[in-house]
Amino acid sequence: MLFSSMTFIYVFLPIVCAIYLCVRQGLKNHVLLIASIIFYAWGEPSYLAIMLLTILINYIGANYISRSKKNTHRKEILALTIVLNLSFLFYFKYFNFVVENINGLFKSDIHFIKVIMPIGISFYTFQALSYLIDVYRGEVKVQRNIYKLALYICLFPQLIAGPIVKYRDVDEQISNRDVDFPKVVYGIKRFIIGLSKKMLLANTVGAIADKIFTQPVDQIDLPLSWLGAVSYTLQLYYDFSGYSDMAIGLGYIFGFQFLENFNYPFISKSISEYWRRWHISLGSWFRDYMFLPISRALSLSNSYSWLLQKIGRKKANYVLSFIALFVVWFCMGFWHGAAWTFIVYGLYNGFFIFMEILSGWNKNFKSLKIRFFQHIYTILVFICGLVIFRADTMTYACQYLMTMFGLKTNSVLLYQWLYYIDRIEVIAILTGIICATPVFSKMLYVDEKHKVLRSFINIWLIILFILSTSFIAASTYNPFIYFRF
Amino acid sequence: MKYIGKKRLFISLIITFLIVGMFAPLYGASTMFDSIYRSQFSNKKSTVQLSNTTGGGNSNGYINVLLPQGSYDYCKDKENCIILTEKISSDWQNHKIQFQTFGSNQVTIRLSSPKKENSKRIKYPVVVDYQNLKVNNETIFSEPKALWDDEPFEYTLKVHNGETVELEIDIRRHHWTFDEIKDLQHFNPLMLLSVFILAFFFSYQVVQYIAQYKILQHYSRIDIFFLSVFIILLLIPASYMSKEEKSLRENRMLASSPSLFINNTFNTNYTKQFEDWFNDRFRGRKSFISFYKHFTYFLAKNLYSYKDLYFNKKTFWGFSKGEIISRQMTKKERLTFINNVKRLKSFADNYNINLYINVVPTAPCIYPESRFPFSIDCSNIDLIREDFKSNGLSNLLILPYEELKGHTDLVMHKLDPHWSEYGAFIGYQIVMRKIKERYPKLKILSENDFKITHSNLTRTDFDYKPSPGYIFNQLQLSEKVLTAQYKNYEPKNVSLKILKFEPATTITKSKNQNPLKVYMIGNSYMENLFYFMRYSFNDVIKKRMNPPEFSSWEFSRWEKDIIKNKPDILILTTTLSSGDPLKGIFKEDK
Repeated sequence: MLFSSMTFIYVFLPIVCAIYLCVRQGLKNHVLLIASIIFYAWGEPSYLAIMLLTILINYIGANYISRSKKNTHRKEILALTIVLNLSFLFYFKYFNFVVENINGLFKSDIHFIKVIMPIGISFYTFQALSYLIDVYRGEVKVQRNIYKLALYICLFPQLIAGPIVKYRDVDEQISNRDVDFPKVVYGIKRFIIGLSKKMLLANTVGAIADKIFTQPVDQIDLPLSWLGAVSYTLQLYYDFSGYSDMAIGLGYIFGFQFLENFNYPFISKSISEYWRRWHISLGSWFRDYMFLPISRALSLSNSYSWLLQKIGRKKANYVLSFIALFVVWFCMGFWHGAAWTFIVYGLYNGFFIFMEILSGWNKNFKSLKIRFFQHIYTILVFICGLVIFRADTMTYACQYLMTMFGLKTNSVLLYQWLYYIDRIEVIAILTGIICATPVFSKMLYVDEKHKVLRSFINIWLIILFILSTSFIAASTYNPFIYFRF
Repeated sequence: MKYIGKKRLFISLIITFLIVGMFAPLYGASTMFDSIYRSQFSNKKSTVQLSNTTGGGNSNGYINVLLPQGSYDYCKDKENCIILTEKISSDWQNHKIQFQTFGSNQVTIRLSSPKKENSKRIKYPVVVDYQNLKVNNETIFSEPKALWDDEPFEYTLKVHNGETVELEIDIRRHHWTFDEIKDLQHFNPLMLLSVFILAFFFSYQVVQYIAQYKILQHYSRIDIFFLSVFIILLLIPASYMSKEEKSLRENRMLASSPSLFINNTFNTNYTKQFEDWFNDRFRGRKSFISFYKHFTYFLAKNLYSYKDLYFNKKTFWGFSKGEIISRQMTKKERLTFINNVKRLKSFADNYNINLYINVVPTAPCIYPESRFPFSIDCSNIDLIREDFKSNGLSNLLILPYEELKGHTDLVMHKLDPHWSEYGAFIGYQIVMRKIKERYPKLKILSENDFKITHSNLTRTDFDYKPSPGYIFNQLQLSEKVLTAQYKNYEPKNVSLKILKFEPATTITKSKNQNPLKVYMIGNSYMENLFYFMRYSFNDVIKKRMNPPEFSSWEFSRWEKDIIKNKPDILILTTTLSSGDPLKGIFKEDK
C-alpha cells in the first residue's frame, strides 16, 4: 500500500487512527503492530513471512548477545545474525545481479531466480541491524518484548521508504509516548506537505524526466539533457523527501518523533555536506555502523602503524579515509540497487568527498564568490551523479553526460520541446526550485499570535490536500482507450 | 440554553444535519435530497430513452436516427424496434425527429422513461416529462406528462411506403414534488427522528470534546478548525460507494466489490481487487477527476495532456499518442501484408468476388501540423503503393491520400482520429470510381444527392450521431473548444431499410440503380464510408472487425458468411498505422 493511494488515505488511515485514538494506552502498540502487518501484507502477503522471520532472528540474536558473557561468543552471535539478515537481502535483491556478473565474467550459465524483491526489505533490514549492533555495543537495552521489537521493525509509517530509524532513537517512545493535539495537528500538516510534494511536484517533474530518459541518447540535445537531469533531480528529491515527510507526519499522529531525513540538501556547499542533508538516516547509518567501525579497525591495525612510520600521520590518515570511504560508498551505492550504475554512483560520491577532504574544499569560506562556486559545484556534481543513478546502463549514463557537456552533438530531436514542458511543468519546476530552499522552512512553526498567517497556512494546506487528492483520483481514471483502428 | 452554550448548540446542529443527510438510506430517503437537487436545479445531462418506436408485422417501420454508444442493447431481441435516446436536462428541450418509412404499415411511437434495470446506479427512477407532442404538425397532446417506464404513452399512426414522418416533442427530466419522493422512497419519519436524536447526541459530544481542547487546554482554535476540516475531508470518499456498473466516460466496466473467499478458499487477489473497487467507486470520484482536469487544463498554455491524450489549445486539434505513426513498416511486415492481400484475392477469385483493399490514411498524414509537437512519418503510404504495384495488385488498392489533402473543409475530425463526413465522402467517391472501372454503369452519388449543412460536430462512428469526438469525451473538454465547422451530409430522396443494426453487423437494403451486393469488412474508418455506400447499393453488409469483444482481424469470422451471401464486391477498410494493417487476418500470421 502506498501513502499516496486512495485506499491508504481514505480507508486505512482513518480506520487505524480512529481505533488507535479510542483504545487505552496499553493496547496502542498492538493496534499499530496489527495495522503495520496489514499494511505490509496488503501488497504482497507472501513476503510477510520474510519480515516476521527477520523480527524473530533479531529478537533471538539480540537476546543471546545480551545474555552472553563471553565477548567472542557475543561476536559470533552478532556475526551470525548479521549474516542471516543480509542473506535475505542478498537473496532477494542481489542474487540475480551477482549471477549475471558471474555468467558474464566466466561465460557460465547459472540460472536466475524468479523473485520479486519484498517491499522495504532494505529499510527494515538496516533498522534491524542497527538494533542488533546497538545491543551488542551496549548502547541500548535489549528488548525482551517481541511485540515491541516487531513494532520497531515493521512500524508502517517508515516501513517502505524510510527514514531508517535507529532503535536508540525510538526505544523510549515505543514503550512510553503521548499522543496530544499539537502533535496530531503537526503530523497531519507534515503528512499533507509530504503528499503534496509527491503528487503535485514529484509526479509532474517526474513525467518530464521519464519522457526524456526513456529516449535514446541520440534523440536528446544539450538543453533537453539538462532539463531531464534537473527534472529527475527534483523528482527524486520531492518523491523521497515527500515520503519522508509523510512518514514523519504519520509518526507524529501516532506519537512518535522520527528524526528528519532531509534538510534542504540543495543549499549545501560541498558533497560532504550534501550527504549530511540528503537521506540523513542512511548517511548516519553508514557513518555509525560502517565508516566509524572501519576507520577504528584500520587505525588499530598494524598496517596503519606501518604507514604512520613510512609516510607520516597526515598522509596515513588520508589513506585510511580513502579505504574507509571506498568501502562505505561502494556499499552505499550498492544499497540503492543491484546494478553497476548504483555502485558507480556511490563511488562517484565517495570520490568527490575524498577530493574535498584532500583539497579542503568542504570548509566554510568567508568569500561570497567562493561560497557561490561551492554551491554551483555541489549542485552540478549531484545532478550529474543522479544521471548515473537514473540511467539503465553505464553506457547510457556516459553518453547522456557527454550530451550534457556538449561532447556529443549529433542528436536528432524526435519531439518538439512542447512535448516535454508546458506552463504546468514550468510552474512545477520553479516551485520545486524555490521550495528546495529554506524559504518556507518556518511555515509550520508560525507563532500562535500570528492568527492571520496561521489561518492562511491552514487553508493553504487544506487546498493542497484537496488538490493532491484530485491528482490521486485522476490516476484512477483509466479510460479503456479503444483506438478503433 | 446558557448551560450548553449557543455556539456549541449551533455547531452541533450543523453536524447533526450533515450526519442525518449521510444516513438518509436508514429512513428511506437515500437520494431524496439528491433527487430533488438533480430534478430541480441540476442541468447535468444524462442519457435516457426518449421514445420507443415499433413497426408491426413483417414490413418494417423504423426511424433513421441512431443510437449513442453504450446503448446497443436497448432494442435487443426485438424485431423492427429502434429506440431513440436523447440526453435530457432539467429544462424543457425541443426535439424534432424526421424519419422515413419503408413499406406500408403502422408505426407505434412509444414515449416512456428508461427501464429501472437499466439505471441501477440511480436509486430513484429517471422519469421523463413530455409535452407538446406533434406528429406531422398535428398536436397529439400539449400538456406536460410524466411518463414512467411502466406507464408509457403510445401513439400509432398508419404510414405509406417512403412517407416522411415528422415528430416534435419537448422533454425534460421530471421535476419531483416532495410528496412524490416521499412515496417513492418509503419515507419513515420515526426512523428519521431516531437518527436525528442519535446524531445530535453524537455531534454534541464531539463538539464538547473539541471545545475542551479550546477551553481547557488552550489549543489554537485555528488548528481545531483545521483538524475538523481534515477529518471531514478524510471521511467523505469512503462514506458512499457508487453503485454504477459502467463508466461511460472511461468506456469500461467499473470494478465490482471483491469477496474475501472464493469457493471457500481465500481470495489471494482480494487486496488488489479491493483497491480497484474503491478507486472506481469512492464518493466524489467524478468531481475530483473533473476538478483535476479543469485545473490542469487551466494551467496548460499550449498542450493539455492526460495519459497519452493531447489537446492543443492553440490549434484545437486533439489526438492520442497512439495514432502518431512513429516508424516505418518493416520488410517482414510489408511482406506479410502483401501475402495476406494475395490470400484474400485468391479467396475472392474462387468465389467470383471483386476485392478492394481500402487503406485510409490517418489524420496526421493529412494534417501533419495537427500533431505538433510530434513528428510524423507517413512514408508507409509510398511503401504500400510500391508493394502493391510490384506485386501486380494495384487494381485492388484504394488509398485516398492526395485526394484528401488541400481541402478548405476539414476532411478529418479535429478531436477524433477518424475522417469527417466530408473526408469519407471524398473517400466514397474514390472507392466508387475504382469500382466503376469494373462496373461502368455504376451510379455514384454526388453532393447534389445530399442536403449539406455545416456544424461543429461530425459523424465518426457506427451510431452516425454527430459527435464532438473521442478525445473531447476522454479529456472532458469544454464545448468552447468545438470551433471547427464540418460539412454534414443528410441524404435527399433516398430509401433505406436497415435489416440489422448491431455494433458488429449492419445490413441494409435500398432501392437504387446499382443492383449489387457489397460486403464491407473494416475498422471504425469504414463507418463513415458505409454511411454513403449504403445509399449506393441494393444490399450492403457491414462487418466491423473491432467491436469491443474483438481486437484483431480474423478473416475466419466472416469467411462462411461471405460464401453464404455471395457478394459481388468485398471491400476491406483499414488504417495505415505502424505495422501490418491486416495483422492477424489469417491464423498463422498471429
